[in-house]
Amino acid sequence: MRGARAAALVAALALADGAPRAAPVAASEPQSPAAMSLEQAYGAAEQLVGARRHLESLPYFRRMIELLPADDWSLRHDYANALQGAAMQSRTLRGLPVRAVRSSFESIALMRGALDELNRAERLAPTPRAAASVHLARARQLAAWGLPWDACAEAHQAASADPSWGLAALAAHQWTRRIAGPDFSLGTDSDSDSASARRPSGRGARR
Amino acid sequence: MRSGSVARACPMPGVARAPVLLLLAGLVAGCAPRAPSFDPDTIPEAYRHATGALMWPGATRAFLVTPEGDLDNGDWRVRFDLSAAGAPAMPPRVIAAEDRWLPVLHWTRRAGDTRFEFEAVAVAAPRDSNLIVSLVVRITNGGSAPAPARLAARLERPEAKPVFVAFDAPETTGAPLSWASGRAHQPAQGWMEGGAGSASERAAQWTLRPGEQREVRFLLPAYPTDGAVLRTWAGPSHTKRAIEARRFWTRQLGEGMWLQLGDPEVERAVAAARVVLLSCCERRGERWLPIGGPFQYRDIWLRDGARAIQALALSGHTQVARELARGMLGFQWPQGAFLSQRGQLDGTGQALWLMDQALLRPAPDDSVKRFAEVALAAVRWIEWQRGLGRESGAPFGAMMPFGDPNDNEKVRAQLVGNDAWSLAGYAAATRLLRASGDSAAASDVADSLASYRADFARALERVGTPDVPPSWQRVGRDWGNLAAAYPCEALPISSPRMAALAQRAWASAGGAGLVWYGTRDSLHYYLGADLGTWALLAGRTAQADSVLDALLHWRTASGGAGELFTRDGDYGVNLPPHATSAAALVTLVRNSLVYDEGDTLRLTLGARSAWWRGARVDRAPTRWGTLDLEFRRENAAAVWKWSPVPVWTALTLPPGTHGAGAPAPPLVAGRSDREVLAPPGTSSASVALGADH
Repeated sequence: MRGARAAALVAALALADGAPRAAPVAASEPQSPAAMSLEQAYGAAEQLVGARRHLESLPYFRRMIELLPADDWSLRHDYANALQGAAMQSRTLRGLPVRAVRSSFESIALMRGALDELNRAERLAPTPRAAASVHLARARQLAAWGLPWDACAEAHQAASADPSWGLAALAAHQWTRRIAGPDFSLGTDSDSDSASARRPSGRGARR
Repeated sequence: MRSGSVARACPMPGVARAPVLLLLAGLVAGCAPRAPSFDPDTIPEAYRHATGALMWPGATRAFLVTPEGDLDNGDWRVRFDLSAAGAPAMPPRVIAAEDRWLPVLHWTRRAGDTRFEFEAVAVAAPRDSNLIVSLVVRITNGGSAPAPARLAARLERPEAKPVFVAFDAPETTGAPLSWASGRAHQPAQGWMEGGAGSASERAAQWTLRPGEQREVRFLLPAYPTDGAVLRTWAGPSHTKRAIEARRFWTRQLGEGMWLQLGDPEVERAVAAARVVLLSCCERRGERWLPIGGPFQYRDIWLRDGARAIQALALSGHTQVARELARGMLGFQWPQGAFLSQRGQLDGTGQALWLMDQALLRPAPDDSVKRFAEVALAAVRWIEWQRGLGRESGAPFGAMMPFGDPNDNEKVRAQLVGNDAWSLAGYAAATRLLRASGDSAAASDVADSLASYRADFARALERVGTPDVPPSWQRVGRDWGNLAAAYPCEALPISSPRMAALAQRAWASAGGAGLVWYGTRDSLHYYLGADLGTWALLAGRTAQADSVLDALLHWRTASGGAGELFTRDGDYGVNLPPHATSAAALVTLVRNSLVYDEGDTLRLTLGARSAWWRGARVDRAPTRWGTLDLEFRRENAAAVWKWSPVPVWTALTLPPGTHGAGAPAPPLVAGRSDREVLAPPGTSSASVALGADH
């Protein structure tokens, strides 16, 4: 929810004259997303995503989608990133690291949702730059899950979608180099917390 | 969560069926549902700390019986403080299942001459993701003088950093815990018959005459439950609840393959493993999923789920295996790949393999077309990966890309196991497509499989090691590479590389058996189990038997097996039971008796000498239908009877023997003097034996 995409969303907000609005509330006061205006939902989502509380941000994205009079690629894009963040989010429960969601089954369901949202964003993308942004987001998400060829292909599609965008060309170049070279790294491309797939070790079970 | 009992909801077909199976089930491994009388301390326990699991299919929590003799469900603990004549009771030495398989657990704590004998059983609760433990403590004064005895049961939260935590436990631990009280309707964590005390602690005390016994009953739900519901649930006695559980489990096992080997240890070990596998199933709406274990592994991994599903399918729990396979479809990504955990690229091959295992025995399921389509999309994704890799010109470009599983091989590299499992997936997809009638797609995938196998062989040549390394970059720990021949069939059984790999893995562990993982002091229960089946198929019967011996040894008295532990049996916080460990045992025993991969049915590959006194296998699902088998050694001959199949059957002779002369037609000599081949349609055979020198 930063930079160009946030600006796009703000523009979309400005156009949403017909959307229902609710009175502003203090940030600390708990409020149901269903009672929020578009701006309030946006504010809450932005705050939660900034705090890496992706899972909690999802209802606010859904509220924004509900309120926006026209579907918007940048909102879908941001929602996809929040879904991806939620899929990999971890928490500490009574001193033990656990997933934010119940199990890998729910985690993968969130990721499937994230990829669906990116598909929607791609269809809605109004400019080559927007389309390239969606491809790069997909590349980051797939890289975070350890699918390097998929990430690389998406980075190349980003560069093809907007040949004038240096960032996309650079990403495509870097992926090509990483995947065939010894300096391959997944970690630096992850854009969110990662719930560890590692199983717990025992005192007598050094792994 | 829907209301209704787990028994009604679970995919286990035996639940609603009945008397005939009950009669049959009564014959399974221990003749439940009689109430046994035994001293749990006489049951072997392989690990340093005794534990038990009170679990139920579909329940989302389970109770751990801790080494101290308390019960812990990952949210709260029921602590028993026991004393007699002022002396505290010792922790239990052993926590044992009946006949070391049936999950009615027994343990004894002693304070001087006073015994506190516990019996506990988990049963489905009215709420379908809940379970309720019915527990009795029988307190007996075994001394010659009157003795005061006291039992206090306290509900408490676990320590600051518990061994495991329930996924749905509240984050804060401040909420009060309480025993059901009076006729109140408040949620309670337990119910105690009699006793007095505060909300969270109840106690009872007596002065027992010599030989006198008292009994106290508890009900312990996995989730807070209305006190009035618990009181109603207490209507049927503990004895009746235990009988109910014995009937449930004997019926469940009676539905599947029935082993009568004349070897109670093996029969019961397999029964215990099947209980673990059936218990480690959770539901999500209409889907069923295999979890890694009831405590710290209450999550889903494709690699573990695949093994559990295969073992259930091989054991004749066909419907359960198929329901679980359907559940695993939720792990397919839009590109076609299957992934359950970040960076674990073996998941796609494993998913296809588990579908084949679950759906094609004893005959293709009606839904095979749907799975075949899913498999084809997965194969196309792998082919796309390989295509990109080849185009890159990277040294191992035709192999799967770098993976970082954060587990297992513990390295970021191109893992050999990812390719081995992908190959297993291609073979599985070919079978699924053929079964669905799509012979053109099956043929295409078969061609891709041949090409991939050739690339795999070339990659091995390029690596230059004599065996099969963990990764193409030769770094990492042995893991997926150990499965290269069985079950992945990426290499032939006769490959010298597999022999070298087995030699390397076993030599450093001290011989055929368990292999070590991470450090030489850490034994891994299931990691080397595939080498056991490889040894069976390679004719290395003694080595296979040694692996089976190790799997039989490293079991708890309550029937489970751990995953990783020190050589002196300390599993630390990696609590048994592990579902993949259970699967490893079931699979190796089944493969020792009936092996049906490939174009030949193989019988008695690893049958032990004791089994040759006369053994039966009933209702074993195979790729050629459901099979019954009898075999015995009669004087100087080995004799088999089995359900005829439309392929050749290879019969392996008893250990320490060989065929005396040429086999009588229609039998023909096999690959060695310990094997004969029977043509398709044969249903019995007798082979004259000579003793090895």
